[in-house]
Amino acid sequence: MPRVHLQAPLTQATSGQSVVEVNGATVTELIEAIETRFGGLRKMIYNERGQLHRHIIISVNGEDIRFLEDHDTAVRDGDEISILPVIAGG
Amino acid sequence: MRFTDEQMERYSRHIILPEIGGRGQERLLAARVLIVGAGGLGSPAALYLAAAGIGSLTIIDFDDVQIDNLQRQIAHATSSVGKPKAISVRDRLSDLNPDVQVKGITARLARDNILDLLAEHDAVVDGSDNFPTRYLVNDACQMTKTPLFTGAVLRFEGQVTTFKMQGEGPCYRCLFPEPPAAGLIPSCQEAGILGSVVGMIGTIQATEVLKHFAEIGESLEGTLMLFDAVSMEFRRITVRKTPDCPLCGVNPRITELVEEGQFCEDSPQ
Repeated sequence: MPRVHLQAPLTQATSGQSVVEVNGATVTELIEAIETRFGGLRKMIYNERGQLHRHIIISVNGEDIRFLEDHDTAVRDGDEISILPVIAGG
Repeated sequence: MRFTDEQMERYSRHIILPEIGGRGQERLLAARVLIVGAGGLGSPAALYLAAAGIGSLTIIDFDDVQIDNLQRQIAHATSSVGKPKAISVRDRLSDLNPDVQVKGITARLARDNILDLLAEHDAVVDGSDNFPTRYLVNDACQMTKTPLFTGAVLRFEGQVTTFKMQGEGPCYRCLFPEPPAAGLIPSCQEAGILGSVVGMIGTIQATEVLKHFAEIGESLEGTLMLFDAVSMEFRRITVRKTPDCPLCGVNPRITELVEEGQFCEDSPQ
């Protein structure tokens, strides 16, 4: 299964887990699978129009999905997906 | 320049490295670096840069040292509680290395003072702890083509990268175009931070600065490095110049300095 890494505070939506393995063929399907398992991730990463917040990045194998096929980017077993917010702690 | 005997001794571990040598050390001694924030990231960055002989260091922070800073802000001491942080760090650095011209400024970095400060420095280390300052620093560095060495932390994790701001390189807004609305992303004060994580990220920022001025190796430009202390893993995400970047994209929305996003209460610089 693809592995999805989440950075704080998004782990609030995965019961504190920073790595989640879920089934799915695209980024959209992975996010839906996480939403179904835990509930709450969509609300943290999308705005009211359903668009990804401009302070959140999703990457597949280190490449920002804005430079791939966005949410339709295909994923497969062993792929590493990251979902992370801008943070400001100093 | 000619090194004094004391400088030859002080910097001998640098000078003996063929990649640095006397020429590299001279370049470090000629460099002028602005450090934004004398907190968790600013402390280790400032200490290593001063120790390495960066010739001129300015630290700006408007806050005073508090006892709950000392779990991670290693440039300060218990005896400094109540003192302005910029002055506390200035005194520590001057004591560490008298070669360094150290300036401590007790003020909030803002639209009305940032450009004058950038004009006097060759690079910026961002160790601030709030979004308006981070976006302001990026925008001003991008507009003035000043290299920016940025890091941020939360809980057990850190993010660190370098923006050289030259040619077709990306900026912070290429990565994160807009700051979050109030309340979406907590501060360290609200969410906590493992003390040593700021040391790991701040020293990576300092290492990037030293390599930049000594002209060594590969930088983190084009790579956002993520660190997770729980799994003890580093991961990398490629950072590209984004055509719709609101600052340096094809049709920029931002053409002058702005202060966007929410200050958290009690936020030191």
